[in-house]
Amino acid sequence: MKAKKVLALMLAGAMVLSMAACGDEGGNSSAPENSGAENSGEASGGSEELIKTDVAESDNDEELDYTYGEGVTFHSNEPVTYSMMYSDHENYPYQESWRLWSAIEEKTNVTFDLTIIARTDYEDKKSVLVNSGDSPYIIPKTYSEGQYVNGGQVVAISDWVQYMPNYQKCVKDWGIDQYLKVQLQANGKYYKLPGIWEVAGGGYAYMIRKDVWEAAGVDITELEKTWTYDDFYEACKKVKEYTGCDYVISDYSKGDCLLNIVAASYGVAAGWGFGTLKFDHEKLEYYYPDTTDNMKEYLTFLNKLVKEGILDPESFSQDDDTARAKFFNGESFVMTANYQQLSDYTPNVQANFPDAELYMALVPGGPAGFPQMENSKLENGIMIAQKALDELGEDEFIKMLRFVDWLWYSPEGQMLSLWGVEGETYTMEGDTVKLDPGITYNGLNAGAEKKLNVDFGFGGGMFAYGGSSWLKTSKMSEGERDFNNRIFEYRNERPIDPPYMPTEEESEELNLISTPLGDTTKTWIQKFIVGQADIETQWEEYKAELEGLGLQSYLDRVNEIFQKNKALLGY
Amino acid sequence: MAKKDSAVSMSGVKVKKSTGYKIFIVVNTLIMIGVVFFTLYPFIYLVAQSFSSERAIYAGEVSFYPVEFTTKTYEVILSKPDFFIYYKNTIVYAVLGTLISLFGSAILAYPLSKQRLVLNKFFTPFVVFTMFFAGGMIPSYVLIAQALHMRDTMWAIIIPGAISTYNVLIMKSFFAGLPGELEEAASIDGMNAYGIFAKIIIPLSKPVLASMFLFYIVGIWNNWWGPFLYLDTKAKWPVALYLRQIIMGATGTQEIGVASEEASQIAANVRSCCMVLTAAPIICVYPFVQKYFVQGMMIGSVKG
Repeated sequence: MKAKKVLALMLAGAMVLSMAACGDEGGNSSAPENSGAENSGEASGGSEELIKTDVAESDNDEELDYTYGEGVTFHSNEPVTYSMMYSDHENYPYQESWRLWSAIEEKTNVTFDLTIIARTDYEDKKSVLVNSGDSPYIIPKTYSEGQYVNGGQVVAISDWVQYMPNYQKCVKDWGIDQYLKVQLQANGKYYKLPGIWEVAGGGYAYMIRKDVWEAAGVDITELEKTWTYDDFYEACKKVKEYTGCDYVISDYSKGDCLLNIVAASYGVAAGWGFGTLKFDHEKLEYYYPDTTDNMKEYLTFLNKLVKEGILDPESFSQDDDTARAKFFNGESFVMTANYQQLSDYTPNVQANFPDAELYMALVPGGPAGFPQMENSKLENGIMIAQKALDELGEDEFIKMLRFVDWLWYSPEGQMLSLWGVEGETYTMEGDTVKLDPGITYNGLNAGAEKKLNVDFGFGGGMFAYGGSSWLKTSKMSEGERDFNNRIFEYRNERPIDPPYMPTEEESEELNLISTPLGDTTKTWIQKFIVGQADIETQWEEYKAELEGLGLQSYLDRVNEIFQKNKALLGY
Repeated sequence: MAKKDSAVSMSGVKVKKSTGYKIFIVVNTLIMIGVVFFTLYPFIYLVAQSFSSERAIYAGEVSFYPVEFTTKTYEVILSKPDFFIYYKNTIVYAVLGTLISLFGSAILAYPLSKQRLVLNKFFTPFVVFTMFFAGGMIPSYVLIAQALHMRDTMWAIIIPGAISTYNVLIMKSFFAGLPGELEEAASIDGMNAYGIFAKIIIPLSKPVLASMFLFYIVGIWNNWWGPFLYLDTKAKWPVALYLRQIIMGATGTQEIGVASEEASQIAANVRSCCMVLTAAPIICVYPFVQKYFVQGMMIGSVKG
């Protein structure tokens, strides 16, 4: 009995302690938030525009111990070292001896103190390091920064971009402000320097077995220019008749990639793209795309594919390897993919069918027109740790930002990250980059002994993700360039939805409704497609269930928040 | 007839087996073979896959033996520049860590096993408490990396998890089960507590020490989470972390927008190769400690 009492006391004590700890946390987290709100008030009061593109100069430019600026190479007189997280890719593992490091040092006098993390675990470790306040100064390869904003451990970078001339030039010249708005947090600031491309492009599409399709009598290169999903269906039927296969399409990613691609042409949201409300650019309000008539049409279409043995219902449950195996073994003839996957899969298919030819077919059009899949010019980006500002002081901090500015946003820095050192790894022939014949990269100079990323460190995913459209196409193989050109020629840009910028409390409140709403919608989508639910008879039931979960009040709340913030966004 | 068959010969030289017993033997053997098969098959399958071509694996032709025998994946993995450094690290961490763990657990378990320990009523629950409550990831990280300055050192891998409460409890029960008379006799002969522990208790505890040895070494061998969290320099990585990176990279969704010409070259059998490479050395340790292992488990679990 005594022991039990002691235990009970201990448990109670532990609970009290943990509650106290939680209380503390709440107290702390509110502090930066408040200050953020104040600052945002100042910012929005002082200036009209949220995304500024002006460039500030230091008062004492002549006295600086480094050079910087548009068209100027960043160079520090004294050697400096900046700490940085490094996402290590297993196919080109980090090496200290890479030319990349020495080339950066030669040009800028900067070396890195790296925290090396396997790319697959990068997010987890980043979260630990940032949240424990132990993060390196530069935090690249950040896809989603939202979770770090309220912790106060990363710098609101929009307060500092005026010190980054090359970055500001990219934003201004390439019309990036509308994309940056999407990154704005409730306080009207953004926390991540994104990788910036001059043009969007690429993205997912249908990878098909062109040899089989042509044998089945489908002239895909002509058809794809203007085909709609009805044409797609007819074509798949021909392929099915010709091959006698069980299913023409068997997809991976639990169907999410396919659902997302088809959804774009129908103007709805599903699969990878699920979870976003759509914005009506005429009425200037958000709506729920998955209860519209387009959604009904979308589901009816996919259900027809399943019913007629074109789409494998296992696409929604099988693991990725199984889906790939079916494609490699000639059991299916269509998969969704991006261009890299096409070059990766070709040898696997040709191992079984030497004459096989893979082709990236453009995504068919639908009720929402002929959209390009990729509608953002932004890539993952760089966060800067608050620790850097605290430890370096303002002047040194700005110096570091100008180094970041040079390496990631100046044409010179981008060229170095991607192609390396002129005269060593590449030469210029007029306007064309000529990779050294002894080096291979991205399918260029196939068979050469050395690899640009493995042996030299250039062209990796850490630094080389942004630049002009010239730079973007410079690394493409013939086939990929062709694919890109087709997208730009025959498909249209999709408009970007503005953010509604909820505060932390507001987004928590909204999550309470949106989570069950999303789960229910996803379940119904799957049921409708594989035929467990009947679209004609149960459509109203589906809508009623979503209403019951608070769909309308959710929408009202979102639109209310948007109304509050829309002036900021320039509506 | 059946009755006569089952009669036991009084001379005791020969015991005739009954039909029922014979059937039992046969069925039992079959079941055991089945169990062995189901236990071993995953390993056989892995080994077969690791030596097969990727095409054959995708085509589903591999079951018991390698199809289109190849050692390509092994070559790729083994030829990575730092592979042997990682292996060396693992061996260092495992050996050193296991020794520290064994020592630490034994000197903690021994006093706890003594009823006469002052405040034992407090210490034992105090130790057990840690089995159910932990500080959580970020506080642990702050403590180990910042307060104890172990970040990017091998001590961060070895020290924080050195003593496993569960193992300490097993050892405690084992020590408690040793005859107290031995210790009494030794102390009458003038031996102090440390002498008794080192010269009497430890030699008598080989079974439990062997099982603990196995528990700890396997634990450290397979541990990737600690190294992942605390090690920033790649040259300090253990092999488990490196293999995890390869496996995750081969099976994960491919990075968009980054050239990855090698990405799928070894994807299908890379997993099996990695598993074989990680499991093989540690499996080799088993036969040597197995007899102690069985004893230790039984003794530790029954008494207490």
